[in-house]
Amino acid sequence: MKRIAAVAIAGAALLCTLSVQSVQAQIRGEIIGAGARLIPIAVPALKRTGDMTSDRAARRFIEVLRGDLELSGIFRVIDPAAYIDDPQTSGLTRDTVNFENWRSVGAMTLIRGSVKGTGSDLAVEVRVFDVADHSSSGGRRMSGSTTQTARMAHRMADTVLEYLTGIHGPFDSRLAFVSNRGGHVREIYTYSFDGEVKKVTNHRSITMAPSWHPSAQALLFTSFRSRAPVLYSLDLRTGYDSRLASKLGVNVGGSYSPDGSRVLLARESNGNTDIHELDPSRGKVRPLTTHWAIDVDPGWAPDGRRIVFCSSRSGTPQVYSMSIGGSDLRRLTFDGNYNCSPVWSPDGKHIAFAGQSNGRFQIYVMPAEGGSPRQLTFSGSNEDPTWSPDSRYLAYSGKRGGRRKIYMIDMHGRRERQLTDGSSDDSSPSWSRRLEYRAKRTNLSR
Amino acid sequence: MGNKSAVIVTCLLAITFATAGCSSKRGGGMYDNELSADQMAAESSIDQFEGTGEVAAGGVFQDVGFGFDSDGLDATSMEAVRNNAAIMEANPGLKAEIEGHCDERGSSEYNLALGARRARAVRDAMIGLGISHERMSTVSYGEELPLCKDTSESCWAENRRGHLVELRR
Repeated sequence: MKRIAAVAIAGAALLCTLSVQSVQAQIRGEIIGAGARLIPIAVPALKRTGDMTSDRAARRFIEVLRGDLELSGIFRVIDPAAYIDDPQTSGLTRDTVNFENWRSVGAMTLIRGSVKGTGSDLAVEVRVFDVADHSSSGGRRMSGSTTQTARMAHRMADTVLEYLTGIHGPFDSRLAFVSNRGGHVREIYTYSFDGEVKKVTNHRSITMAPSWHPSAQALLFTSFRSRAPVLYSLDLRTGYDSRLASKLGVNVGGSYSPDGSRVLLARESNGNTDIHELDPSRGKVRPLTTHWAIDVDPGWAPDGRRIVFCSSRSGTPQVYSMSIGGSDLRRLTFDGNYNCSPVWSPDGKHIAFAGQSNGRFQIYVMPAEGGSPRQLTFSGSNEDPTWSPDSRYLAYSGKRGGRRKIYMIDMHGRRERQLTDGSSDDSSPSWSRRLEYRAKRTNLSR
Repeated sequence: MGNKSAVIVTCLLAITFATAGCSSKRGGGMYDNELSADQMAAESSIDQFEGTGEVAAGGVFQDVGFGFDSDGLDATSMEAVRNNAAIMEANPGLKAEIEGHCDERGSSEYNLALGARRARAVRDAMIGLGISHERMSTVSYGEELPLCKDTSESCWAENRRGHLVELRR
């Protein structure tokens, strides 16, 4: 089999941290404790220089930025109708911003920026200010084509989260999920946090369990196109998919290792399903479990040394972890009669899973080494948890007496948000790593 | 501007990944057997979503029920198995595909594995009643092809089934 190594160099020359503020004047870390209040943030329109193209893009940038900051559950975006400042004439830098205007509308943090458009390209320069301190915590200059406006805004939102909390945000990423929208049986779609949804398969059959490659350029999924469940790999750059595992029987739950070189999956043999590890470049498969019970739902620890999975070997489905070598098996869940779909947080600290409670399923989080699970969801029935790349949030599918929808919640169980609109059944979300950014180099100057 | 210093960060991100599988459009099964001709020939529920189980020669296969998270066959289920075995006996040329299905609760991947066990359980029971294993194949649809979508025990029970369809050639 051919191994295609694509080396793409992403120049992030757009990154110009304009002034790095010391820690004391900013609110960091602790702000995300349980019961923390929202930070009131002002996000006025960008100051425009250039042609009308940049006006549309400028509005889109701010709209997406505001949306992400609200979605984060960390900020409350102050209603722009209340702003006193005129964005086209007021200052952009620490020395020229009128902080009193922003203090008076209740802002603790201010995002102030400008945009320049040159035809189909866009250059945005944004600074983040602490209103009480009259100080700036940093800034970013980005450029690219206008088609990348939303992504620039996502990256800016992620940067704002980093300045204010010390942890980069997750919004420049994608969800993959299964949907029956558009009258199709069940196909795989991708979702961006600005609401853009794209159909990425055309199998005209039942698809399930999408799972991202760490580069966010490929997806694993299972499809019944051949009338039985086969594991496919989809290259999102080309749109072509190919079969990875099509052994007679079940092939499901494909999961790429953190370095993208191996795949875990559940495969059936004579009626029994076990976890296997697949090396696609060598065409080699080896079983990791050989128990007569059902072993499914494999997931990797972020260091690639351990795995989690769901097994019924103790009599009911429960969550287990094990070394990738097949030893050191540990049972992690003990309460309830059905705990499955385990996923390891990218920072390695927690494992989330779906557990049955009072006849319905809910999302739980527990320390990765085991311990008391904390219930995150309480409404309806919720399954298929997946972690955000910053380990702060979980997305999952929920049923509240209607269609299945994709939701997200923070890992403390606060601020549940509905992400898909409920006009179709949407399930099995998988959250990608942060996307890489390709931009042309620009001269860096103050 | 005092203590601030401009930090220029240039990140060169190398994206390297192996495109798993053949990048060409051949797309054949890479590691194991292709699906058998019988599997390919089965007119299973995937086409019309509710294969009636009717047999061309006459008779109707009965769905075999299961308890939650179980692949065991109780008395009622065995009754259905016996009925299905009788149809197979009466039509010696008949081949069948046995589908395993689950209700919507729980992991869809676990349900795919459970469905496989259910299909297998029905097949094994029919082998036990004298039907040749060569006449039956199995497939699992997990929770993916429910008969009904209500959130109720009766709907769930309906979905937990082994469903037989005639394999036509």
